[in-house]
Amino acid sequence: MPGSSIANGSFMSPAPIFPRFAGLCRKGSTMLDILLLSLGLGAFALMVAYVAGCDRV
Amino acid sequence: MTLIGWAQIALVLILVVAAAVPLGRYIAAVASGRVTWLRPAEVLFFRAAGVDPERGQDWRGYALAMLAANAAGFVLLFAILRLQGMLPLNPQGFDGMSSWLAFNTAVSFVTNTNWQAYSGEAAVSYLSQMAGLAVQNFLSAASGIALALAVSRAFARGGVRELGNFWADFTRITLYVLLPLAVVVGLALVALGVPQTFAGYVTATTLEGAEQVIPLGPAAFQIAIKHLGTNGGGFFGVNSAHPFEGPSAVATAIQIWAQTVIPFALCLTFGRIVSDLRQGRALLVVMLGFVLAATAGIYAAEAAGNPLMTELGVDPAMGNMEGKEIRFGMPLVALFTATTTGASCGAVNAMLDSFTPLGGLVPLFLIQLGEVLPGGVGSGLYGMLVFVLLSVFVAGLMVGRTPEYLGKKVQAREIKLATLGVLVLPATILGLTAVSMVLPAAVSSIAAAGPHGLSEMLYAYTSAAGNNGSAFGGLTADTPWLNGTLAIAMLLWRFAFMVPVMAIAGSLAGKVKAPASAGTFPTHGPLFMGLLAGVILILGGLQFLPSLVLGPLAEHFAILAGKTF
Repeated sequence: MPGSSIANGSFMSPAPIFPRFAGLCRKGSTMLDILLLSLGLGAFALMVAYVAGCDRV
Repeated sequence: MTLIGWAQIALVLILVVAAAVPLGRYIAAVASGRVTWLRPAEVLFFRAAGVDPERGQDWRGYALAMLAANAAGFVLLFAILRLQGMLPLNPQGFDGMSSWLAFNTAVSFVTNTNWQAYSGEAAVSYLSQMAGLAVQNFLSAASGIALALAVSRAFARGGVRELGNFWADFTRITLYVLLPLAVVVGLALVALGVPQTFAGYVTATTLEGAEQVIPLGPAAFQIAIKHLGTNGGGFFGVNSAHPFEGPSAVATAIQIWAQTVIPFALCLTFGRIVSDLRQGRALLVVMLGFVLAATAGIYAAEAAGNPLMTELGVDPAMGNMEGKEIRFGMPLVALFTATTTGASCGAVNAMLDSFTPLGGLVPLFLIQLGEVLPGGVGSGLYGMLVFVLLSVFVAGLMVGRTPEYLGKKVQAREIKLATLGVLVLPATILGLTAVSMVLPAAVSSIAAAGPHGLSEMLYAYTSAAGNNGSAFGGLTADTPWLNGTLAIAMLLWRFAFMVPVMAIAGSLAGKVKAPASAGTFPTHGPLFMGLLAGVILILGGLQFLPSLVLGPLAEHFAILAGKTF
C-alpha cells in the first residue's frame, strides 16, 4: 500500500522537499550514496575524536 | 479504569519481575564468562575475529571497539537496503530503498532506535528484514548491554583501568542471552499465529468481492528480537497493531514482557556485579514506579475519553478507543505504551496520534526523561547510573560532603562528563524541533494544525533523539529533511551519550573503593530512591515543560474549551 501506508505511524511521501536538490534525491544517485555514507561514517569519526576529547576532561 | 484492567497490568508486571530475578543472575554469570554451554560457537567467533577474550580494554579501547562494530553495521545495512532489488529473497520484487531513506533506516537500526519512515510490507525484502534489520536488532542491543556491563564493572573494581573486553561481551550477550530468548519468544509468537514463512504475499477475495493483498514473511522471530532488544521496528507498517504482528491480547502481553524483562534484569545484574543486590533493587523499584505511574496516567486519560466525542453522542463508557485495537483492550494498550516509551523500544500496538492530549503527553514525557525508565537494554541501566551520580552529587551539595556512590568518590570530572552527556538530549530535541517548526520544508510534513501539529514534530525528534523509534504519527517522515535530521538526532544521543558515560566508567574504575562509614549516604533506601526520582523528574520537567505546555497541554485545554485540530 505505498503512498498511503503508515510506517510506525508515519506517512510515506515520494515527493522531494527541496526542489533545488531534486536531482540528488532521485533513486539510484551514486553521488548521494557516497555523500550519505560519508556523513554517517563522519559521525562515527567525530565520536572517535570525542573519545579523545572526553579523555582530556 | 476497571479492577480487571488493573489485574491484567499487575499480572504482566509480576511476570516481568519474576523473570527478571533469575535472568539478572544469569546475565551476571554470562558477563563473568561462567556460562559456557555454547562454548564451541563462542570460540569459533573469537578465532575467526582474532579476539582474545581475556585481554582487557580500558574505557577508550572499549568505546572505540563499540564504535567500530557499529560503523561496520551502518555500512553493511546501508548497502543491503540500497541493493535489495538485486539481492535474493525478494518475492515481491521491491526496488532498493531511496538513498535518504536507506541512510535514515541504517542509522535508525544501528542506534537501536528503529524509527521507520517506510512501511515494512511495502518497501523491504525478506533478505533485508532478516540479514539487515534483524541482525542489527541483535547487535545494537548487544552493544548497549555490553556497555552497561562495562560501566557496572567500573563500580565493582578499584584502582584498575580495564573494564572488560567489548568483543567478548558483545559475542557472549548475543549468543547466550539474546539468541536463546529470541528463539523462545519467537516460537511462542508462531504458536499464537504470527507468520514465519518465505512464501510471497497472498491475494484474497473479500466478502464484498474486492481483492486484498495479505502480506506475509519471516516475521515471528524478528518480532521476538524487536521486543527483547528494545528495538521496536515493526515487520509490518502498523507494528504490533497489525493482526499478524500482535494477533491477540496474549501475544501483546508476551511482547510487553519481552520489551521490559532485560532492562529490569540488568538492574539486578548490576547489583550482583557490585556485590550488593540492594543497589540493583533500588534502581529497579524507581524504574517500576515510573512505569506504574505512566501506565496509570495513560489509562486514566484514555478511559476518560474525549469530551468532544461525548458531546456528539458517543457513549463514553469505553473511553477513547480511536486508534486502539478491541482485541487488546485499554489496559494492555496503556501498559504497552508506557513500557514501549519508557523502555526505549518504540513498538506500538495503538496509534499515539489518536490518544487524548494527556494520554499522548505521558509517552512523550517518558522519552524526554532520558529513556531510563526502565530504558533500552543496557542504555537504560547506564543512563540511570548517570542520574544516580547526579543524585549523589545533589545530596552531597545539600549536606556538604564529597559525594560517593558504592565507595567511589564522585568528583568534578565525573560530574562534568555526566553533564556533557545529559545535555545532548534536550539540545538535540529542542534545537531540531525549533528549526523544523519555522522551516517551510519541514512544516509541510505536518498533517495536523495548532498544538497537535507541534506535538507531532516534537514527538518525532524526541523519539529519534531518545533512540525510541515510536512515531506519534501524522507526519510525512520520508523527506530528505526529516530523514537527514532525524538520523543525526539518533546518532547524537546514542553515541554522544555513550562516550562520556564510558569516560566516567574509566575514571571510576581507576579509583580505589572507600569503605562505608557512619556518614555514608545509603543509596539503597527509600530516601535515595525518592531523591533519584526527583532528580529525574525535575531535570526532565525543567528542560521540556515549556514545549509540553505549547503542545499537548495547550491542546488539552483547547479541547475542554470545545476546540479541536
